[in-house]
Amino acid sequence: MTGSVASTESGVGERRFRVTCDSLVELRWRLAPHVQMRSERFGAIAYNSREQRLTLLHSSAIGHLPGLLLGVSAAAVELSALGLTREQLDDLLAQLWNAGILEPLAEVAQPIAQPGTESQ
Amino acid sequence: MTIVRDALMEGLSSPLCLTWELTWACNLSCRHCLSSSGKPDPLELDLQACRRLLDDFRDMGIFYLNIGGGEPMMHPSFFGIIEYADALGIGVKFSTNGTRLNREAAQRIASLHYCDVQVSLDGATAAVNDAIRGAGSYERALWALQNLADAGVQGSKISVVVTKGSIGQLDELRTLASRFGAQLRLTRLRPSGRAQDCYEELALDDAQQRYLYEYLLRYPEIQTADSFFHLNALGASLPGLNFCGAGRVVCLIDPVGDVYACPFTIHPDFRAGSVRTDRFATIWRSAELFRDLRAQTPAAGCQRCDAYSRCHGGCLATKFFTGRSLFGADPSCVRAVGNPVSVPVPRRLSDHTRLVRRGSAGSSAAVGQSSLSSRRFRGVDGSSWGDIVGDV
Ligand code: SF4
Ligand code: SF4
Repeated sequence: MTGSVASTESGVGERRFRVTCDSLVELRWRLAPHVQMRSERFGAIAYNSREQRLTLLHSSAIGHLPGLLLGVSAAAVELSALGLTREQLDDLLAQLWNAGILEPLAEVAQPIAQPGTESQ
Repeated sequence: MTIVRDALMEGLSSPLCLTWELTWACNLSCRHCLSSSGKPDPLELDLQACRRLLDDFRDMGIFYLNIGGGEPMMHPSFFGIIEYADALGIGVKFSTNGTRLNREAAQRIASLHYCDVQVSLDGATAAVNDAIRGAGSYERALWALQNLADAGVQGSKISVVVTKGSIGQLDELRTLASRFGAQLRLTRLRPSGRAQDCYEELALDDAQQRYLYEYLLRYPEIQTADSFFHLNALGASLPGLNFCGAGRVVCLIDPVGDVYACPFTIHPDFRAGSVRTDRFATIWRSAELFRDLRAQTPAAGCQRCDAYSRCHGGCLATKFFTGRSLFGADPSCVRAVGNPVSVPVPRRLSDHTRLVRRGSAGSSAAVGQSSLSSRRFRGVDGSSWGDIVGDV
């Protein structure tokens, strides 16, 4: 799985979390607060209005996760339609979470504070 | 993280950086005004037309607008427009000279969900600023910044066009910004609008460009609107886009609804259509000019430069208005300073400082027509990029 997340703003550091569940795929997710997203040919673009940060989501899968993005289904439910392995979707979710685009509905993770990861 | 360059080069379903100039009216007469503003045009879009346009922006998934002018607060429906945008969930960033930003206006701005105010200031002292923006403009800008701070508006910016006059004041400008809880934003002087008349006098020289580059590396919290990517040729890349986004991710709608590739390319060669005759989405997605720009390899003549992947030949507008070939290097190229002028320097066609009255909207060209000179783009091939990003 080589999905990637890129940003057009500087100083964007990856968030680190200590996850206390076996697989992110089991969780229900939603867009993080202040984040909007729209589809593009290559996947999607997300914008965090609070951090004023654009993120390119270069993944054909991302556009096919509407139920997941609305928090109405667990990622596992979306798996069959995507043709992804569980590990691939797990990896994608981790990247989106790290980038502050998605967040789980359930309290399963504690952020680990990291110096120097504030964005503009 | 790297920018997914190819995806942006080919254009997006909607612009990322949409500048919307609401009016040409302005109560200042800055020497470097990119839109030669002064007097309003009788055909400027009214509130009803602006609301229709905002509905289109929402349907296109546009995240935010860069609102400018002229002085946008002089549009008779300024608050009606930005409050409607806010209600639609479209963020507003607007540039102002601050002269109308009183306490009441600041409080109204503070009540919006997302409104980012950029107060223009072109020097850390009245002497430097007022020489460009006019007598009294320095004090008025500081008054506006104080009103914003008092109203609790977060994240205001002091927006500076860096010139020979202000390059030595960067430390003072950072101090000034922090005094108001604001961020410093530095942008590049381009020879557009009235700046055509003072570009040579005000633009940074080679040593000053190097100083600025080092300064931006030292203080990455300074915002730049991706203005200075041509300086990447000096070494490590500055954050942000590293190629010209005109027509790819950048676009301008002017006060009468004409659509251009970039706020700094207000010229018939870069006019893509008019929202008076076509939907903005149609212009953005189908105009021949935009399709041409997205298909071009930027500054193909620079491709053999070893800094090309970081600079891509610099700013289209700066080349155009200094008479350089659009295939070649930026006139402020740090590797090839002194490129010969290759084509006649185009002049701006409008000066709203002295505007009397337009006879028509001047918006008759249909979408799909491009007045971009084929001479400028002929022979450019679409080469591929090296950093292919994988897919899942
Ligand atoms: S020659 Fe072209 S690519 Fe190289 S630094 Fe100059 S403008 Fe940039
Ligand atoms: S023409 Fe210049 S100012 Fe406009 S998008 Fe290109 S690089 Fe930026």
